[in-house]
Amino acid sequence: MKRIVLLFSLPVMVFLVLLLFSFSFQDRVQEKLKTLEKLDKDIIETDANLEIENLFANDLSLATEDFEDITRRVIAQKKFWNEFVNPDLNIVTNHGIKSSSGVNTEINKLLSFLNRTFDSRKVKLGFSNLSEPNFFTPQNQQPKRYGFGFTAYDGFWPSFEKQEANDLLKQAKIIKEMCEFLLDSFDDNENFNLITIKRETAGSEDNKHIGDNLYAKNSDTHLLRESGLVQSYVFEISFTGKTQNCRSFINQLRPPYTLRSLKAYRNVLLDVENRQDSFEEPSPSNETDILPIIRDITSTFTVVVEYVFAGPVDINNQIQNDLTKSFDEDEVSEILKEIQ
Amino acid sequence: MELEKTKSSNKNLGLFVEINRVLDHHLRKQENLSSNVFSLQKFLNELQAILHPDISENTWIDTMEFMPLTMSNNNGILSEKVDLQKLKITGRYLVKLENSLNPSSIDDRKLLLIEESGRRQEKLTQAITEIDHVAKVNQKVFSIEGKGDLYKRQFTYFEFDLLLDLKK
Repeated sequence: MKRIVLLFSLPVMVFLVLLLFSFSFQDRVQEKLKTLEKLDKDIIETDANLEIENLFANDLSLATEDFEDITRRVIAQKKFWNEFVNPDLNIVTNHGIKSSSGVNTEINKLLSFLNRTFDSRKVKLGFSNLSEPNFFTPQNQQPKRYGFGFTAYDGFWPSFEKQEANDLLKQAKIIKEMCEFLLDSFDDNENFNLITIKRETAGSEDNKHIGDNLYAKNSDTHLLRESGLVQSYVFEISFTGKTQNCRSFINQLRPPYTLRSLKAYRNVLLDVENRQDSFEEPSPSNETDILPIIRDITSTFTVVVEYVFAGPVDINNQIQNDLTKSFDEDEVSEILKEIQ
Repeated sequence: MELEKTKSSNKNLGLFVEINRVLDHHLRKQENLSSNVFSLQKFLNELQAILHPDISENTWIDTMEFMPLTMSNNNGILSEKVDLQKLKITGRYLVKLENSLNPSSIDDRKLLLIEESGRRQEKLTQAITEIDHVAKVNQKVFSIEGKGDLYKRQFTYFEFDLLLDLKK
């Protein structure tokens, strides 16, 4: 009997031991299974993340390409504006600050020089042939010296702040250069009239005295500085001449000058007045003898010129200002290094 | 590992995109402006080119003036479009008959002058329309009598009211 019990108890015990083992390992298996499941999930998640990151990498690659393209555009714009403003030769940026009385002396010297130069070329100053004569001007009155935009300051100098006085001198230097362009646009023996030179006011004191020399902007004239990107002075110069003279003047307006408006006017009445010479019922054989319809080809030109002395603000600084609130300043700087 | 590496290299994507957006915004303004700097000179060159004898012989421009531009939108409210400028040009061209043409009567001659003036009118209009900066010819007027004098002094008066896009 004992033998039988022993014979049966041994497998039972083995079974029980195995069962015990089984129970104890089941948890570990479950644990391993869970780990495997988690790993599986992690792999899926990682794959998904990798896929997303690959898409981002693609976007980054496109963004980098865009950035390279934009960098080229930025560099082109920087080059354009630097060449246009031409800081090395720009009258305004190269202006050395003078005292108010120093400016007074300079402007007086300039007016004397311009009057002498224009007189020597026999240029009529301050009126147009096309305009009506002023019967109210007394004949015996000595005409005042032409002011070239500074009529009020010929023999008169109010109390200017240093900055305002220097702004006036900057304008005067530009006007001098434009007068030289104008003289170079005509042959030495060619007559013409310089009718007006108008400029903007340099400040509150200048505003009290500028008078007729003040340039008043029309709504049909578009100035570059209206964009808010550049700083400039604006001048309006009116003169008589032929188209070729005007063309020559305009062609000399190289950067930082920019032509903003041109008005051309020719007195057509002069042609009408000569109508007695007109072509009266000619015979066909007279075709080549047709009188020219234009006899006086002198026109009055009014040219608005903008002199730019400061180009757009450095784009890197703009970007820094715009982005440092949302991004790390050093990271922004690092990327922007490429467009220095 | 690969993911971390890609993540790390992608970390500047947002910054790049934002930099591109802001740069492009500022850059467009500059590019628009720079294209406008020499546009009037370019237009004048093109305008003068059409007065060349090969295109339009014996043509004179008497006046040229930029006019205030106001355009009305769909609501009828007047608005100003900065990119466009309105230019008025007036002038005249001489109408010559070829020597080979031999009109037998005054009426024949008048007819030939009208035909020739029409040809010149077409050529001039086409040349002006083809100028790059001309966005639209708002109005054109040709006058053979009154302001013009085709039958006696053989010239036709013309007037063009142009809408210019100087940013082209």
